[in-house]
Amino acid sequence: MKSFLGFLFGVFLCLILSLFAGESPTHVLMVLLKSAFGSKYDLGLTLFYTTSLIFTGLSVCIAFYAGMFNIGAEGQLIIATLATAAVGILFPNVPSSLAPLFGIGVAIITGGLWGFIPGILKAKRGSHEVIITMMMNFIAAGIASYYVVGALKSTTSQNPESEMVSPNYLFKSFDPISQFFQDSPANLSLLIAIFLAVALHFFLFRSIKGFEIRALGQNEEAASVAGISGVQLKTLCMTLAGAFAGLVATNEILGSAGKFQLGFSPEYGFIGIAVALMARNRPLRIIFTAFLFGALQKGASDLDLETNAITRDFAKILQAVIILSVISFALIPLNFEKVKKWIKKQA
Amino acid sequence: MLDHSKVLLEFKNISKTFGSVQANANVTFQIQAGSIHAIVGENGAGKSTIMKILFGLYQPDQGKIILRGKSATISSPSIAKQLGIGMVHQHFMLAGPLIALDHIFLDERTDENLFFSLLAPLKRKKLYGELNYLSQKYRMPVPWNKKIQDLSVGIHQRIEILKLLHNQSEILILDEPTAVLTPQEVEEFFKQLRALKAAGKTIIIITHKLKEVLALADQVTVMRQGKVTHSGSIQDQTIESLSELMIGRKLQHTEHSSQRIQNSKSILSIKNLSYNHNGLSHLSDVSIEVYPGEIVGIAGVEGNGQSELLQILTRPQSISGKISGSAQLKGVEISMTPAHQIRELGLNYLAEDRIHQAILTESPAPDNYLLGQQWRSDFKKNGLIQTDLLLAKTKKGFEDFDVRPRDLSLPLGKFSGGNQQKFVVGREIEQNPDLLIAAQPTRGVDIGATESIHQALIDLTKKQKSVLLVSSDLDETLKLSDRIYVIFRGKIAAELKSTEFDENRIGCLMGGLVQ
Repeated sequence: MKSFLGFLFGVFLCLILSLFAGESPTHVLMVLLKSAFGSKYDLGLTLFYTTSLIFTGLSVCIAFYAGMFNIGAEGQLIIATLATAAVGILFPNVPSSLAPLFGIGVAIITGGLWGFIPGILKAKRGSHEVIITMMMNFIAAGIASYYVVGALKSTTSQNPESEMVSPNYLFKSFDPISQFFQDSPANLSLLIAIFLAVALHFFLFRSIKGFEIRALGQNEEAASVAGISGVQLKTLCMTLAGAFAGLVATNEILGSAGKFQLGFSPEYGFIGIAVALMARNRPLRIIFTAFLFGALQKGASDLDLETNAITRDFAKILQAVIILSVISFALIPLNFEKVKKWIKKQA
Repeated sequence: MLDHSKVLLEFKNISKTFGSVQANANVTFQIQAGSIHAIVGENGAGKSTIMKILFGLYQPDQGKIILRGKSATISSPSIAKQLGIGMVHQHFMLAGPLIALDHIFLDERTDENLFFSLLAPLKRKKLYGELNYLSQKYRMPVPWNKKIQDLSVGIHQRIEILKLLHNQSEILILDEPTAVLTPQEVEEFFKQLRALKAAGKTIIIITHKLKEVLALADQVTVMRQGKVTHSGSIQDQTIESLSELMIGRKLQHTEHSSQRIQNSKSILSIKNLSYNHNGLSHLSDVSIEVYPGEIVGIAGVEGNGQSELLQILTRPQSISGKISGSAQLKGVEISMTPAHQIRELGLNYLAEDRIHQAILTESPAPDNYLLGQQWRSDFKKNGLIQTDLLLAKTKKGFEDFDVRPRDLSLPLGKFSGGNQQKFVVGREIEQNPDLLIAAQPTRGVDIGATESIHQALIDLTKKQKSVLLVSSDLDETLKLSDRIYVIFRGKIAAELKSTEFDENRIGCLMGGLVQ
């Protein structure tokens, strides 16, 4: 609720900012709305962004619960996407009934590995996960550039992107979502993402393991007194975080583009932090906050084209303002119970 | 009879409610100039509320405060300061990295402009002189040039009091001032308070330690459930009469006699346990036996190895450093065992530091009830939490140990300290451990709750279970224990049977004064 108010306030601030930039706020708002939800195609694109943001939001979320800050979702999703693309190109003959599952497995394992490394370093050696994951981001970006302009480079395209993966890997034929949103990149991964959010909610709040993770994240010393071992759980959580982020590969490779395009991610990993924060770290709410940020992402990308004064960079500023206002609203001690009571009294 | 000519401060019919809770109801009493006035009552009796009203933090719903014969409206702490009222809070906030002098300096120079800040060095020097004078006058030495974080809590308290004196406060409100002090420090602190009284200051102390009230105060006001049940001279009062006024019934004496059966096998056997870390010896050659049906006390001033011993017994794997010797629980060596396996063997631990070691402050009670028994098969079916059973058990724990409010959705951090402790005690005891290690079981807990916690420990021994009691409260250790080990600098200084209990001798052993 607070977060939502913060979001609205952020949008409001942005409209004022755009006024200063010499653009009519109503026009900006209309462009934003139309671009995000205007047509089936637009909505499809919004949902496509939403899907990736759910994955990265969940990635940040689970690490948070274990008391860690996963800055590394970006690197995890890049390395997983690269690996999935590579597998799709190098093993074209996997039968089409198995190939998508194989692709998902590769995405989970490579993403998970990219989370496992900072996880085990944190758990065993106490190395700070923020620094390690940040370094792992650079490493992932470096590896991706190296292979995309090297071994995996497309022979037909001018852009820095890989070859297409074998069509066996693509969801297309059995994907109800992409059939509904024809021509847009929205795909089956959305359902996987929503399912995962629900599953993570269930895992965290209904299972004993989930309880142990929550206890560890809240009070490590009390958890240790209670016989909950931090080493194993921290490694597990960072690995899961990596795997969640890695699933962006299904959205990108298996579901839509079918190839690794350098710079495909508009920093999903970092927006994922805002998604998780605004959802107050609740997996189910992440579905909705990811949708809001997905809409914003889609809207902002069109502002550049549809207005004169607002450039791509300005659109980023708008996003940042909204994220900041969401976070600062969370700090305001608003008591909605009191407000409700007050309204009742007046009525 | 009260001498009305000397009345400095009067509370008249003060009432204050928070939501549905009546914190103060028609509170009326007087405080005489130049006296030490104690306000006693259980947690939640309203004593902090009435003092916060005096200090301007809360406004009363009804009633008024009459100060020096005139009705006073105290709308904020700064007005209270101007009226000469100063308060030392229970948990004081100090700027750790600053030296003591600058801590006070920081507080005093709030309304300066740029020009005057050029004179700051001079003012600082003047302040230093004034503080030195005050600390000599009241015999409260403070090393003004040392960093706050390197000074003891006792000195912190002195600094806070001197700050008030420097502000020309005439009325000093001290909230639970002795909670943070060692017994030796308490003695010295009382001398200082008497000196302040002799200098004409009026001191109000909020406390629930009745022994200290009798030793120190001139007048006492007893509160119960927001009302004043007694206010007057301390003469003719005893611990019994005051506690009856406080809890509204006679205090039941918890009687305890050893339930130990002769020649039974020991449940906990520690032999020649030593622990070294970073070249320091924290424990050396400690040997302790605990038999079924007895309460064994470990007496000692805090910081003499108790924490390390507790850590080895409850979660040895979290320790870095070298452990030698053995610790066996029911014949199983535990000095290398994971914490949950020690719990599975039947040892439960009432942690010494509740907030940091025993609870999840942001989680509601059921999650907290699960903490420490998440491995039990009752609560875990196919890896899932058995919510219904958990809720039922939590509810029962609330009933059995009278935890208030009975709200299972409220984060545990919002409960008062005493209720948190009752909850934790209930959680550990209802698991029916063979050995309960109880560290500081009644710290920060009021008389009524202390009584029920003591009774719960005694009831365990009646079922032939055992308790290892580690407490810095010597009265508590003497009262409950069948045997006492005195620990000093990581060594067992003596083992005493109940016939050998002697407060003086144990005190000397604790301080290392006799061998």
